[in-house]
Amino acid sequence: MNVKVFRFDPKNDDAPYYKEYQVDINSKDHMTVMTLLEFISNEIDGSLSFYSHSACLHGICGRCAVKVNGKPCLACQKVLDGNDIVIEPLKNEVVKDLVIRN
Amino acid sequence: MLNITNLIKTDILVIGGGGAACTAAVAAARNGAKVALVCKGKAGNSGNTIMIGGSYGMDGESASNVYHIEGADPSFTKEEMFESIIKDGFNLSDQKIARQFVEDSPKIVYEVKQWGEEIGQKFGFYPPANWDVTGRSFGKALLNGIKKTDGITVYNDVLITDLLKSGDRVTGALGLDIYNGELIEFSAKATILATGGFQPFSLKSTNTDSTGDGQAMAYRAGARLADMEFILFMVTAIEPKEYYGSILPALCSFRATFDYDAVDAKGAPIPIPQKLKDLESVSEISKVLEMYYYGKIFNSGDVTPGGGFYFDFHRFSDEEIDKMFEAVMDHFEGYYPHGYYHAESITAYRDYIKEHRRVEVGFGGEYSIGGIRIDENMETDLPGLYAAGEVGCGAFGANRVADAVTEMIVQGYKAGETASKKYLDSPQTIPDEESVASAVNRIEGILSSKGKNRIGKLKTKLYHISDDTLKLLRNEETLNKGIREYEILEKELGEIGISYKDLTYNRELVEAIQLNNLLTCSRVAAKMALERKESRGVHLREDFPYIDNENWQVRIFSELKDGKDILSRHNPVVTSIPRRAPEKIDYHTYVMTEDLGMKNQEDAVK
Repeated sequence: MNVKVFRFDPKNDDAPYYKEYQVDINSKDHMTVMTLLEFISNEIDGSLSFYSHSACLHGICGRCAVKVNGKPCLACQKVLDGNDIVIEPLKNEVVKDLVIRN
Repeated sequence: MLNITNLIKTDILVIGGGGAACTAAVAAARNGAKVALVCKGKAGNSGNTIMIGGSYGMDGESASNVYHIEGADPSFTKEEMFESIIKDGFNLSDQKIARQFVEDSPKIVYEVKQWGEEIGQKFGFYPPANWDVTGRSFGKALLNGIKKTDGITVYNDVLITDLLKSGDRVTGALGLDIYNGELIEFSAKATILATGGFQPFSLKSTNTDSTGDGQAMAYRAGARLADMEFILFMVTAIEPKEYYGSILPALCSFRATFDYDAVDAKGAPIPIPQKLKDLESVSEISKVLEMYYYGKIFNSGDVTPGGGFYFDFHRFSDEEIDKMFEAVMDHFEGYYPHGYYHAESITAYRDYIKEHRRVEVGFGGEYSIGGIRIDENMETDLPGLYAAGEVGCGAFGANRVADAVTEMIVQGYKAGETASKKYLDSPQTIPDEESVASAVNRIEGILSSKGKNRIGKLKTKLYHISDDTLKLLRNEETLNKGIREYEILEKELGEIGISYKDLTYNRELVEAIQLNNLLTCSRVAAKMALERKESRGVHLREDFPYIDNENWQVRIFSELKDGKDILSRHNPVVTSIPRRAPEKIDYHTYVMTEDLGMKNQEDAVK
């Protein structure tokens, strides 16, 4: 599947842009958006920032919220179905990439 | 070159954001101290605290006679609770710390309940004197306690990277604001670590922030660690993947009406004695027994793809499965939306089971019994440094049966009281320049490292090594192998490459700092596990299947000297319950026949 991710580093970038990653995912895997972001960070692009430093991973803390295909969701709870997705930050005031102060 | 851009002076610095940290901050502020509460995540919404899926409580005597709680059972006395902690801790508890737990807990247990109830959180009572709580409700209660108290300034999303010293005394800490990348020097008269446990496993039910930061930074600063070989595991979900790490399967099994067949990867039944299955719903001691049986199966190699086993439901009808899950949902009614445990759908989990007739589960890391060596005043080996809650150790010996939720608040409160009492009137000492420089250089070193290793890969590697080393049933060969692998990993960690060089939400940098800490804890835990040539509590050795009360009724401490872990043995502090006779006893026989377990679990008294 194709994963399109919002990227923006207010310190070094003039404007936000989208970066695309190709990932092989089967809907049977029940992979979450959080696991996908970790996979991209570990295997493809370590410079990607997303909320992860104090995350419950079970929908309790509510801090890993992002927009998937325009809709707000918790990255740890949203399950991928194998179709292409766009991941964006929840709000406009971006700290870096998908990270906002939440 | 990195620069410190913010200097914050305070009387008491509290590091952490869960139950121990919040109660420590309140207690210190009540004594008139100016308190800085610095949390890696958000205070009241982080750590193992928000992962709570159970209960907390006090002895029935106090609940009944002092707090006049309707339905409390006064026959569960302070003495019985104390004896249970010592006995179920296999006589390794520091009895002064265990006594502090029993004596001081009623007051703060009751007060946190009030903090919660004031803002409409449900605390469901059951005898002898326990209250069911949720992680969120407990976090909100703690935050209410903070808000009600003057003198506490909260700093959220600041990672403390190292303690700072003036001579031998701890006089502050260096912080990294994770969002804006600012380096903050905190200068304090006394510092309280309340940073929680360490979880180095693939499968765990804890928050991502449980990376042993407090243990590792105290160890680097010269404090001793103890009892690190004792790690509590719990049945945890492996599938479906969105439930990975959830303790929902364990909570299901705690309901007396819930039934399943445990089968291995090949579908063969795992031979579990009926007594063990009966114990699941009535006693925490079942966890210890489960480790013994499943540890054997796992070591034989018949594990599922995710490293566990299956709850099998082939012999049950759809109606029977529905009924079992109704009991689970009834239990959570009023705490979460109907049919949910936290944000996880119980009905979807049930339907997955009905469709597949089995579900993969494993043993996930839940709680670190070991930690920083403390005394009953929560003082560490270092002047000016205190530790409370899961980051410390001593109350529970080799196995925990009492509530960790109670532990964190009763120890946190004590640490706040004693630290402020002892240090409030002492002059403010600014940390030594070398101490600050060394802490800054450590961050700089990681950031500027020119290596090629990816932090994410090394993290996965650490998990895999720990899965095989600090597992349920350990032996000399795998422990030695693990210790060698940790050493290699340490070198690899020195040769990493951080993709992004700024400090603004630098995820790789934060992960690298945490992984260093987690590795320190894991290495010390493995060395202690290798050293302890017996089985005791939650430390099980395949090659030493007996409790050795002759040689090993001692705690193991470790001190970092010239970069080496120096292990030593110490007799646990005994006040009223004498040590066991010096003999070797078969572990399995002892656990199966001895009357263990605490009288504070719900179904035990129904």
